[in-house]
Amino acid sequence: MNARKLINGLYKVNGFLAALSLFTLLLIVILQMISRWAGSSIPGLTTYAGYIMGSLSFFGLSYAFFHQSHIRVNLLLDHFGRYRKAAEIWSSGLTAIIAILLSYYTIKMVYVSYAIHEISQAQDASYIWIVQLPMAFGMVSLAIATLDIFIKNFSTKNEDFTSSTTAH
Amino acid sequence: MELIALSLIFLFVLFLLLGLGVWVGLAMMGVAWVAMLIFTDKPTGDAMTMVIWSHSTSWTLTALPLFIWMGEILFRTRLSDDMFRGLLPWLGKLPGGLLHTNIAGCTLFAAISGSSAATLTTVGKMSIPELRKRNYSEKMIIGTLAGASTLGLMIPPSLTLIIYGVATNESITKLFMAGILPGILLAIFFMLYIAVWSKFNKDKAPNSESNMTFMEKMHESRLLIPLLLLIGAVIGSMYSGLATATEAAAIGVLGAFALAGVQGSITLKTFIESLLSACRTSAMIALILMGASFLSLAMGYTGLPRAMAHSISDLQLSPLSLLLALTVFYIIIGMFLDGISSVLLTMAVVEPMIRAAGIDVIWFGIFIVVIVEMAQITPPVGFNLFVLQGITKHEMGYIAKAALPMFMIMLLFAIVLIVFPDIATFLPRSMM
Repeated sequence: MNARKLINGLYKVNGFLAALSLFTLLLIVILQMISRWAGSSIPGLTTYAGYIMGSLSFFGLSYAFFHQSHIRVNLLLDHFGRYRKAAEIWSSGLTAIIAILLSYYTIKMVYVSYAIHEISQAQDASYIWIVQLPMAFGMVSLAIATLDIFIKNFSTKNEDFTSSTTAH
Repeated sequence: MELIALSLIFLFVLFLLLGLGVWVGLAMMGVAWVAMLIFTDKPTGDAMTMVIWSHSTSWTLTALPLFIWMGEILFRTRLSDDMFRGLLPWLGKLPGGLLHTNIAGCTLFAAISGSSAATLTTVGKMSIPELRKRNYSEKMIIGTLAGASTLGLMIPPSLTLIIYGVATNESITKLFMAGILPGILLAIFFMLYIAVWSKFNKDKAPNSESNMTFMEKMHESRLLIPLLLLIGAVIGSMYSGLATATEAAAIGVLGAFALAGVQGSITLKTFIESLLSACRTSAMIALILMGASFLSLAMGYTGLPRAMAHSISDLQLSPLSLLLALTVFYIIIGMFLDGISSVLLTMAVVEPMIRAAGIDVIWFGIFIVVIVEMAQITPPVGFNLFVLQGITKHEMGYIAKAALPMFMIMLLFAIVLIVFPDIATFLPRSMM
């Protein structure tokens, strides 16, 4: 199914961008360390590292959701028996609502930053809306991922719900 | 009393969301949303995204994904194999024999990994088959492993301590330094227990077969050198002030690459896998952090943390009884949540309380880690128990029983930490 492929592709793109962010973060930290030991400092580098840290988290959200890496409490759900499906639909529905609110207000925040041409107060002086774009992209992807699970839950058989608590 | 009514409302909403399986980070946002609606006219959604944005892009957080990545790289090397062979010749002659490899292995691995599950898997996949082969008591193999793997949370780098440092605005480097001595001491406690136990159960702890000369032993432990160098580089660079926690993590990633490169166990595939896996874990933690940042903003508006701190000081509750109350509280929460979630979920309320009671916040970080570590090995939700169940295929009840002595040792250790707070605060003080 094409829609399925498209959505899975979206998660993978997010995963790739998160990985790229982590690698970039390593380079920035090394660069900063070397420049500090050499007695100079590159202005705004820590702020950029912060933005990259943010992109890593935001891009990673939906990718981690896809791989069931996020944690939830399964203790009660495991004892729901034949009401399990209803409970799963309810909780994934609530989850999706929160994620949708989150992505709506993120888009609004980025739009406001864009509309008022907000510029970072820190040394980097970048346009805020540009560095905020990963958050909007990541949150919308997260909302899609939660909706994905919510919809999937309707067609999952009651006995197929398993405890997917992963340890970290 | 209004305070109680309030707390009950929040607890109810929290229970409704968490208990029914809403993902932890988003459940915290849901509770925060309800709190904001009741207590302030401020636009809730805008406040939420602003606080999430500013907390997610903070520089202090950058140590987290780097340390996770370092562990992911090392996990894909032959490190645990080398570590076991390097430790073997030295520990066989101790009373309790090779059971000590569980403790020593976990202690060493904890110094390069920030999570107890990773410590447990890495050490366990090597030591369990080897110890079984030599007829050690199954219960002791599992129990000591469950207990010692919790050192992964205490000995730096520790993900829980990074999270605690971010939540309380304390220096992560100082917290790391504070974790070293308690971590080593707790490891010694575990080893003493093994030694004493073996005196009473001589048949279940065979002594080692090895009759190596000193030089042979030294030769075998050359395998430990890369590991010790890596630990030295990461912790040494922080202690000397040469590097911040984040920079030490970057050094660790480079060192892990070097180690993997020497072994020839790094390929493009494992490199990408380590990156992606690190991203998943850090995004998982990031989501909880996002929820916690919004929750603590919302809690600020409710006035609940301040009121609780006031009533604690009004009660003239001694720091000791506060600590006892918090210990019980965290053990209960820890039965249902993992360590990072329970720290983040409660810090907004607990931090003002401990500050009001005059408890050292760095010290409390170590204390809380001991407590959440204990929770990792208690049913029904003890994450180390789950991991052990996956490795050994034993019943949860059996594993929990095997881990019970370790739980008692940690409880004893928590008391020692209260009586002698310097164990934790000495190193961070000495580095200034």
